[in-house]
Amino acid sequence: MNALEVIDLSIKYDDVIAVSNVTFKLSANQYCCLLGPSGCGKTSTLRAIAGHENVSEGDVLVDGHNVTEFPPARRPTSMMFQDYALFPHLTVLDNVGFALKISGMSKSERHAVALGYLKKVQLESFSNRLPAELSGGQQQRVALARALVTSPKALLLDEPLSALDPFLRIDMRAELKAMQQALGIPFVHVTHSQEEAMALSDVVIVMDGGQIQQVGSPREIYDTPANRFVAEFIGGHNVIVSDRGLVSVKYSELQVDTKGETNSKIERIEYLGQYLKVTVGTIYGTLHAYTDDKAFLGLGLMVGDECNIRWDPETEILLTN
Amino acid sequence: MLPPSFGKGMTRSTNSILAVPFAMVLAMFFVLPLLLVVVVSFWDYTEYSLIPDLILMNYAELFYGCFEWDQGLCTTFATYLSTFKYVFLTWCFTLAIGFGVALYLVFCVRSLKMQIVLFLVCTIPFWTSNVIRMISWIPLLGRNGIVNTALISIGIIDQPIEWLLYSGFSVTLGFVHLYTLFMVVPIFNSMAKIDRSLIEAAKDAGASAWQIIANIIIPLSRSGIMIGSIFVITIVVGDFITIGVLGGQQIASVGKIIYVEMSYLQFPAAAANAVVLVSITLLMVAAMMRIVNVRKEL
Repeated sequence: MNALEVIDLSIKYDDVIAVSNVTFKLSANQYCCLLGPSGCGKTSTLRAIAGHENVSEGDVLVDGHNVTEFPPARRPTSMMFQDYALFPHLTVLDNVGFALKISGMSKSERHAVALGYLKKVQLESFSNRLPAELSGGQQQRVALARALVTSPKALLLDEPLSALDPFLRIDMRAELKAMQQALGIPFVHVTHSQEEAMALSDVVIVMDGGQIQQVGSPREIYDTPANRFVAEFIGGHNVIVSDRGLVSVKYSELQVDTKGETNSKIERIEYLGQYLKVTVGTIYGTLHAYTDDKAFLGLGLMVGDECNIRWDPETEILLTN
Repeated sequence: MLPPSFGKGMTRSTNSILAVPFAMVLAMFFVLPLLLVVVVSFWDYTEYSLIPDLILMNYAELFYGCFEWDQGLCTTFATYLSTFKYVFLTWCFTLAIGFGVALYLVFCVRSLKMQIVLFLVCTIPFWTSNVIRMISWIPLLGRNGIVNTALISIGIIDQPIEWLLYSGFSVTLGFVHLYTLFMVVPIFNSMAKIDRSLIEAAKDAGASAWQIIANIIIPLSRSGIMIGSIFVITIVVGDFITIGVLGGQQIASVGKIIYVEMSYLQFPAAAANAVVLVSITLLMVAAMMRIVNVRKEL
């Protein structure tokens, strides 16, 4: 049985179609990222799963039950909001225990349960603080504990890492992944960061214009982008019109040197640590290549120099438009 | 709202200089007159003259017989009791209606345009004067007024209802009508600042509409509730016109006693009464400020 299933979901506001015909399935052990630029319908899809958005067509099934007509309160899902939406007038402990209070649990009991969840996110010593007295990372952990306290069947996260600084983001990313594996429920994580999606996901769903562009593992998405949008959005791909039509060639498959015909011109050289990113003006337009730093620097090529750029036609990935 | 950088780089003394003009205005038109009232409350007086003095006679007369408990309530206490009855009733009704209207405007009206339109509709009664607004109740509520005539013609009653006008009912109705907006505005203001995602988070946690109101909206709009309450209470506590016009000059209030004393040129007695009233009002406001730190939450 699928832990979470979205079938042919469409969301319309007046005349605008925000999401159209979105379909995907997740099993309990999958971490899924909804990836796309802003306005692509990823957040609307997430909110529709949570019940905060009116679904125009389609169904949402959680744990085998159709919850499409249910209000958020009756859904076995839990949502973590982008700006965390912690209740500013309640202590950390009361924030985490809020859902339990609503369900009528006694004060001592809900405080004990909430404290248990605060321990899971290493914040038990902050239980009597107000949210405003915590750092961004701590607030985020409180939001996570609050979302998990109802033992949801699926956790929905709306850009959970976007408010954190880059280092913290990488730490929290690992914590989220570990939490998902420990709980054994699907996490659906909305992000516009390819790196985040690649690092976290078992399943990446790339969206644009309210539609799913591609579903697959990070590796599938990166190795075989389905169309021009995915290839460009995921990064690391040159989209070229070659003899075979529209194709994509990974930056790492391009060779830049002075052998053969030198009809291209180096426009930019960026040093990125393990490799160099070389930008070259060619008859196909501007192309990027990742090259080994020692080998490339040995050639003595500088910005403005003529060079040859080529790739093995075998590495071309055929794209639908 | 000022940007956070406002005032940076200014020393304490330049800040105090900037505060001087407004402090002068307050001193001239608020502190000085109030001090004058306090001073005059210790003066002596006859039918035709004020005599500068430092006596407690005015206060003694005010509380004459008030601490002989076997005599029943003295006039002053009875008047305060009656005044506070109307303060309490008005506060309850304006709070309930004001909270409801603000809740509707903020959370039920989706478009900003509609919010502004409805908000302006609320202010329409304020286009006419206070007194006209209370007087216009008279033809409606009178013995042969619209309400009584209508009820008789429908056949619900066969005698006009006497308590509609010149009664506690009409006074309370008048107050509520006049001052509900003072409750709506501050509550609307603090409710509008509540982040919508908090409401969604509460729904996500399983909260019903009532639970959201009780657990999220009321605690987060308490500064507005408190400011509105201070407005309504301080206005009603000193009122004498509404109670006079809609109470048919039959209902006692502290404001009315002061007004009558003034009309007999008993300024020191009126001043003593005013000092007591202002002190009680200040104590009430101070007590309310202790419950909610309004400054912190603005």
